[in-house]
This record gives sequence, structure tokens and C-alpha cells, in this order.
Amino acid sequence: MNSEPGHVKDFPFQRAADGLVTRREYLKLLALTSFGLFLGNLGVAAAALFRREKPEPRIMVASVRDVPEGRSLNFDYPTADDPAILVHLPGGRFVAYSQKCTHLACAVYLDRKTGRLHCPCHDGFFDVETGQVLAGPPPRPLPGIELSVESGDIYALREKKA
Amino acid sequence: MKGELDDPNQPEYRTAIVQAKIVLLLLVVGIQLFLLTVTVDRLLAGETGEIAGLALASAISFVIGLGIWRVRA
Repeated sequence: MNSEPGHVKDFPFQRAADGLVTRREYLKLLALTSFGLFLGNLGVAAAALFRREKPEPRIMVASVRDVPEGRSLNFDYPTADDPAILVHLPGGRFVAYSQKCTHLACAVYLDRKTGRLHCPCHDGFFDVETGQVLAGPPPRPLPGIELSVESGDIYALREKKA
Repeated sequence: MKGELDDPNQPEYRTAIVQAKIVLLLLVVGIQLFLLTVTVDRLLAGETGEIAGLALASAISFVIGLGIWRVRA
């Protein structure tokens, strides 16, 4: 009678034929991993070096009267694929940020109850005046957009540099 | 005497060196992994100023790792 368990019959394992990794082979593998990580870092550095600057068009976002105090307006800047949010702060000042949460790029909105920018995906909160992270998982502040108000019209000028 | 590590030809001595090399190389690889994640984070954040320095640190780590690997055991 064969006393072998079923799984051994189904998946026979020949220990002697199996190539065990020696310490030296493992060392070689680690050295190769180190080289691969170095290449990866070099690749990222090259990507940063040859990264194209985004265009910085001057576009009219809205008229001052279109956005009452304490309200927000969504727009796109600098391209149609970059959602942004314009906020009319109490006191008359306007601020604008990229609408993509710095955590996982969900769209943030102005929570009028708390007066903060809120990312509903993972409950990230940003200061509406500065874009700084107040709570939640976002690792960085929201990228800001420079504005100019001329003759009652609000213009987006450029993205603020970090 | 068997088991003492003062003779480079003792198998125990060589095994200890290889094990030390593995630990050190794992440390180097861990540091490089950390550097790579920081570099990608900086790239995504648009803060490209530190990326060259991080790549250089990764290169230095690799050279150190290579040195550790090549130590005779």
C-alpha cells in the first residue's frame, strides 16, 4: 500500500534535483539588484532632466462677479487635462489650485461647512488659503496657480513652483 | 583549534564573511530602494532639484555594494 499523501503524488518534489541557491549565488543576485536599482534611479534622473516643461498660458478663468465669496469654480489649467479649482476666499482674495489630490489624484472640492478643500476618496483635507495638508493621507500640498485680477476678470498666469 | 575564526582558511571564517557580506549588501539594497522611492516621489512632486543628488547617492551605494560583493571570502 502506498502511504504517500495525495499532494506528494500530484506534485512530486525531488529535493536532490532541486537547485538550491547558495549564499554566493544569493550575493550575486543582491549585487545585480543593487545595479538594477542604480539604473532605475538613473532612469528617473534622466526623465527629470529631459522632462518637458508644461505650457504656461495666460487664460481668463472667470469674472469676479461669477464667483461669490465663499464659493468655488472648477476650471482647467494649464491644459484641458489638468482640472483646477478657483476659490473666492472670505475677504475678497482669490486662490487657485490643481484639483488633483496629491495622494491618488481624486478631485478635491471646497467643503463650505468647514471652509477646507476636501478629497472625498480618503478624507484628505487641505488649507484653502495655502493648499497645505491639514489631515489625511496626502503627502504634499496642492500645487497652486498664480492668479491676476484685471478689470474684474480673473486670469490664471502660471503654476506656482514648489 | 576548530571553530576559531582567526585563520582565514577555516570554513567557519569564510562562512562568517559571506554572511556578513549578505547582511551588508541587503542594507545597501534597502538604502537604494529607499532612494529610488524618494526620487520617484520628488519627480512626481515636480521637485527636481534633489534628483541628481539622489541618483549620485544611489551610484555611490552601488559602488559600495560592488566592493562588498568583491571582497574575498
